[in-house]
Amino acid sequence: MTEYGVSDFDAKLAADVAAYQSLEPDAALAARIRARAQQRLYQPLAPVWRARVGLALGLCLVALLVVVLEPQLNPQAPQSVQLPVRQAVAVSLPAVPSTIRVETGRLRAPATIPSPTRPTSSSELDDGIRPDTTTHRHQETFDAHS
Amino acid sequence: MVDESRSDTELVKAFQRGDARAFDQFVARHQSRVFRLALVWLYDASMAADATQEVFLRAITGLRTFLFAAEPFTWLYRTQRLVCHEFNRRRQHETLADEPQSTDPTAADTLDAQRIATTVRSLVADLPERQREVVVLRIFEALSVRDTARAMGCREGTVKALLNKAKASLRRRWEST
Repeated sequence: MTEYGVSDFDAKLAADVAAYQSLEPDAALAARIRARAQQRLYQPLAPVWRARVGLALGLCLVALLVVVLEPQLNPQAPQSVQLPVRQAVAVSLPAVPSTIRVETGRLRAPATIPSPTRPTSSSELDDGIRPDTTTHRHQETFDAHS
Repeated sequence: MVDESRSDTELVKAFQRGDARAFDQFVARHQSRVFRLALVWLYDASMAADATQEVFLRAITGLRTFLFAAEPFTWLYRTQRLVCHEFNRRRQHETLADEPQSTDPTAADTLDAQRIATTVRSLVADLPERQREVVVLRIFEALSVRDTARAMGCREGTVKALLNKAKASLRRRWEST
């Protein structure tokens, strides 16, 4: 401890701090920084920024050219795009039910064929339905076997 | 001559409006501190001068778009740490490739600065990095606890705790020698 009650450690630390805080950069450094700063402050654009701005402008120009020249280069493109898919579906839909109905009638026809054992009545003939000759032939074959 | 009438924030705002003199004032206010800190981190007066210049050149571009999310000095301090790291890396690279370059031995100021930097560095050399940083900022640079916390990006309580630990370590080492 020193006579003022400050420990040697504190005194040493205070001396070091004072020495440290007395450190000043060379006077030339301030002038150098100022000169470089002025140079950079009045430089219109740094090379990196110049490159970035050039790239951005170039991209804008290309985009503009694409928008302006695209219809002239490919005149068919808008027509093919305008063909609506939904409209095409709507047009083809009404034809579907009639087609199905016709097909259904033909498919049901074998189910209404009278069984070979049932005799064809005269009323059925009067209705205009032609008797199936194949069925009669089959009937005869059946009778011959029995 | 350092003008203390305007705060750092006011100076930077004036600089953003195009006032080049405000930037000169900002440099004049902080160049000594930036140089001293660079000297502690780099241990070489001429490299510290180069690093100080680099910090302020980066400040020209960085502070133009500064958004004041932190204090301008906090930004400056972090930039300075970054620049010192880069200089250290570059120096290691050069030392491996070439002969180590010594500074001009005839420059008395340079030698004196390096002697003081050596003293500070040897004092904090055995401390962990965060404690070392607190000692340099809080004791040697005499920053307030608040400014130290902002510069280091931590809470004020953390700064106080780190400082107490660092002081205890330094005292123990002093008493043991």
